[in-house]
Amino acid sequence: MLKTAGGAVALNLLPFPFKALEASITPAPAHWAKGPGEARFRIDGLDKVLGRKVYARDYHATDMPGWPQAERPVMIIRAVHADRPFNGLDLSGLPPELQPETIVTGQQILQDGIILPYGINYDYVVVAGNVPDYLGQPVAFLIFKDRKSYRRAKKRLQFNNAIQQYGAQTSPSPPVEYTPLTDYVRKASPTGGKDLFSYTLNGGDKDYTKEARTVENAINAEIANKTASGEWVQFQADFSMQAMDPMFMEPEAGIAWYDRNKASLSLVLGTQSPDGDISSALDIFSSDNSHNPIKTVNLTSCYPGGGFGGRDKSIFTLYLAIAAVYANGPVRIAQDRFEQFQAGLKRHACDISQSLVFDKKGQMQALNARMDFDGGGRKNLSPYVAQLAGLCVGGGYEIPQSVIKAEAHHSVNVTGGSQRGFGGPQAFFATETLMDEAAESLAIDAIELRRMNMLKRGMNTVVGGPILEELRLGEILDKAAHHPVWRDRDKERQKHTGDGQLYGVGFALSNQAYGTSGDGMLGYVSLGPDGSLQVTSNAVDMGNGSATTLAVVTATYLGRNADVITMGDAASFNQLQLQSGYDGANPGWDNPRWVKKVSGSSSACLTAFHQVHAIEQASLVLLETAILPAANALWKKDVDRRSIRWRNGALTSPGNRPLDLSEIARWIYDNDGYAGAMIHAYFQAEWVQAEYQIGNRPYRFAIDALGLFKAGSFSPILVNRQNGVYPSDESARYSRTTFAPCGNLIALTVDPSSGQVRILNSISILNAGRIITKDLVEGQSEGGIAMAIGYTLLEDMPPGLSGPAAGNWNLNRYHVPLASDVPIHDLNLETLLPLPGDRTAKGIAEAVMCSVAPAIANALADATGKRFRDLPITNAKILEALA
Amino acid sequence: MSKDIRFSVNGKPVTAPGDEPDLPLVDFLQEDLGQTGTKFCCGIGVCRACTVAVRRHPQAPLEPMLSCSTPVSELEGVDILTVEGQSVDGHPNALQEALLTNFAFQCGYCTPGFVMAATVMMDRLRRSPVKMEDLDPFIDNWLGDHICRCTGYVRYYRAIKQVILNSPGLVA
Repeated sequence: MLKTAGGAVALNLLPFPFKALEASITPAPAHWAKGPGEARFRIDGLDKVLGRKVYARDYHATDMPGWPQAERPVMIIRAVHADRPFNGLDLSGLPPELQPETIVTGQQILQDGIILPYGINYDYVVVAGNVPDYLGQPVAFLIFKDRKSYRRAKKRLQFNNAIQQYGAQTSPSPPVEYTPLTDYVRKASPTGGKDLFSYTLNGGDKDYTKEARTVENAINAEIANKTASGEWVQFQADFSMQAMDPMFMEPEAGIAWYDRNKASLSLVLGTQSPDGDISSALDIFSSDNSHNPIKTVNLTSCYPGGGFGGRDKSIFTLYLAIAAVYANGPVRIAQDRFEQFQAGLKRHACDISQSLVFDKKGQMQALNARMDFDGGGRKNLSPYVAQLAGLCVGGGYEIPQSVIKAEAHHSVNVTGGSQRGFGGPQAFFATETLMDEAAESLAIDAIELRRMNMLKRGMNTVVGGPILEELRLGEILDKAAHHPVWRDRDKERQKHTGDGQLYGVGFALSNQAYGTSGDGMLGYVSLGPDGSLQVTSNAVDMGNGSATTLAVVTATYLGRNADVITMGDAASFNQLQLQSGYDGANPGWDNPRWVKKVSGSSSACLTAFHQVHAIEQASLVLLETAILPAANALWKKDVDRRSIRWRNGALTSPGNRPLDLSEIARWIYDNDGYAGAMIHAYFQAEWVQAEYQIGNRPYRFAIDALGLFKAGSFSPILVNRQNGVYPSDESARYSRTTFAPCGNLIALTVDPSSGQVRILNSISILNAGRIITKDLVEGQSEGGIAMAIGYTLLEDMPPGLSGPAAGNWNLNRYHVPLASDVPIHDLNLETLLPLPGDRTAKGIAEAVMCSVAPAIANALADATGKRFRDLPITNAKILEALA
Repeated sequence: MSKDIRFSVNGKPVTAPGDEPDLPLVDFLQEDLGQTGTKFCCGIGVCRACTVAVRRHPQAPLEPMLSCSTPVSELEGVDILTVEGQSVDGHPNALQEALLTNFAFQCGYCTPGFVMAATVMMDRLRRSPVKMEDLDPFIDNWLGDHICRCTGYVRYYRAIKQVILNSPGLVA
């Protein structure tokens, strides 16, 4: 079963060539929902638990209607040296019957005019004679005639580095930084916290960098003076974190077919960025001298077998596209785990040098942080990961003066990408362990020190962006302080004196953001003639539950869950004919088709707030413009909008007979009413709001583009926005304004004879806002903790050829947590009850991971008396510290 | 010409061509039979996502089998059970239902491996029930090597324990 399908061109001004594969859209299974707004199980769960086809790896050309049946497997040969020129391949060891049908070289790609899209700085495939830009960079695509020859040839080629021919070693290339570089300097007035200088205030200045250096010098001089005089105390430490593999369970795989006659490229894959992938796949063949013209890209987006950021703008998609244009029919690339380790996106290795400055009472006065991310071979999203880390390193604290520099640089290592937390895990590890050191040294309770400095509404972040919501950090700290694991830790420690185990408890706080504070969202809700509802989203469900969530939130305004959910559909929304981009001086809000950002990649933290808003707004539009007019007609009077309620799938209003949605739908279809609402919404500190003239009255919605579908029509009527309220220019420099704060308590024991750590309890205290599906939130939290345990204690991959770049890494040497590594019976999540009247649901999937690593490190310090600043904290490192 | 290999998958006879005896079972299932419910993940028998069950003769207990690391040449005459054979008329069995309603999995890619390992484990429990106090370590012994990257295992264990406790005769 394919969940989504469609054809698209990325540029919205082009004609719309969308052709849905209707057979690929599957209705929700029976009994998946408990009632309106509630799921009994995941809407995608039945297919998965029965082993039906849902993943890209499950598909072959024979599954695709209209494709040629013969499928050609592709093996990518990847560079095992990046310090000497690649001179070519020697495949003479393969007998004639196993030779590839086609060999795609770097030279051929250049000759054929295939260009590099934004964010990719180095050749897809190394051109013979050139030094590879990074380890694992492809040196050739081998396209085989059939599966059997591929399998046999791969056995001879994989791990056989002798087939790659290299010249003599050369001198290393000079280091390259991936731009933009993050340079946040902030100085606030000592009292009242009013910003005197910050990125938010001054980032638009032409000479911001120069001004920032002046302010930085003043801050550093003040720190030097006041620490010398003993007025302030400075805590400085260097931290290092390893690269980490997302280790999603399904190695990247996909099939593609280039129909040269129709200039059409079809892709089937599991991606977190279908919109961007379509756009990039078009772009790379768009040069004037392209030998492979492409007018249409059809992307069938499958449920990914895990994502965690590792499928966000992965270059795998482009490899698939390139292989397709060189093959005589459909191609399939299905990486094995060795190949996935060698080439898949990683969490960045990171070095942080940081100091926190307090006055003697424990009030934070300054922060200085330098963060260096190993971006690996391709830029991907590395500088933006560094950028968010620059915000996160300020933690959940009001710090009047800060100097933060964060950058990602090129290296020969495996490329880093947008892994779960997006720079947050690295930043919070440094800040929260240093906070703990400071508390110990200042002789202030670690939770109390955090409370003294916590951010509140109305204060500013280290970027200068305002806190626009109640973070409720105080409540999190209260719950942690009163929790028995924290309160009784000394008593519990006593219990372990007899068993020879070192017992410790640690706490850490994170204030991880969700979304990018510049998010374009798309949603489409349609009503069938039988009263059924269909939801369509361009978002992808990597397992985080977005399909289920979006299927239940139609009930908010329409009293019924969706009957069909289509995810990852990046094509349908071309019907909105959106335009974006501007020259930097003239945002195009006057143009009703212009939006600031059409859409971005799917991350798990974008569901509850952002994607839900899009579907709820589309549902609201349908309620206001279709359901209510129909109900009024059926009731033969205009009822007060505020009086209506949904009960058991029927619309009710006092004094009127209940109307089942199916009856309303029939009226709409009989009377040419509206039956579908397709919307775009944009969030940047707040949702854009605008008016839409529909019929004889204006409606106001928190959206910036709208298309309405008449019953039975497949083409929308585009309704122009007017009287919009748009974001300020300054708010583009806030960095983030939406946060999901989380505190984590960890209790553990250390075996001093082996260094073995056993996590006994994990308590997460989370401000998730309104919870839509409790089981999904809890599941995200549990998974985040397991992943963080791996990050902190187990998972390690060295750079260079001693790591996965060599192509010989697998799970026998990369240890992810098993059930025995996780306290499965003592894993607790406490969520704060939403504040009265607050319907904000927060994206928590990344937040739930961020406070775990520092909480473990702080617990280890409590247990052993030693500070650990280098991840992963292996048994060997613990033993060494205890020696 | 090597002899073809004959065995059954979910009760149906199948034939693997003898000219590729080292073909891993998971590849045979996916590419030759088109049964993609059994998943490929690490390919070296560590993660256990590819677990299927095998019955070597009609009265034999089920055994777990790592389909990524088992060549078809070793399968002559056996009966392989996969996730596709666990549903009843297209409906989830009790184990699958428990995994669903406990929200036990997220991306779901490791789920067929858990389903088959738990199926084998419950077959053993039917033949030889364990005491209640031994149940948790028993489950851990059978499932503890399975890797799930999305969840914290909590709900897998909860669901599987629940279905064991709801199945008469599995716990002494």
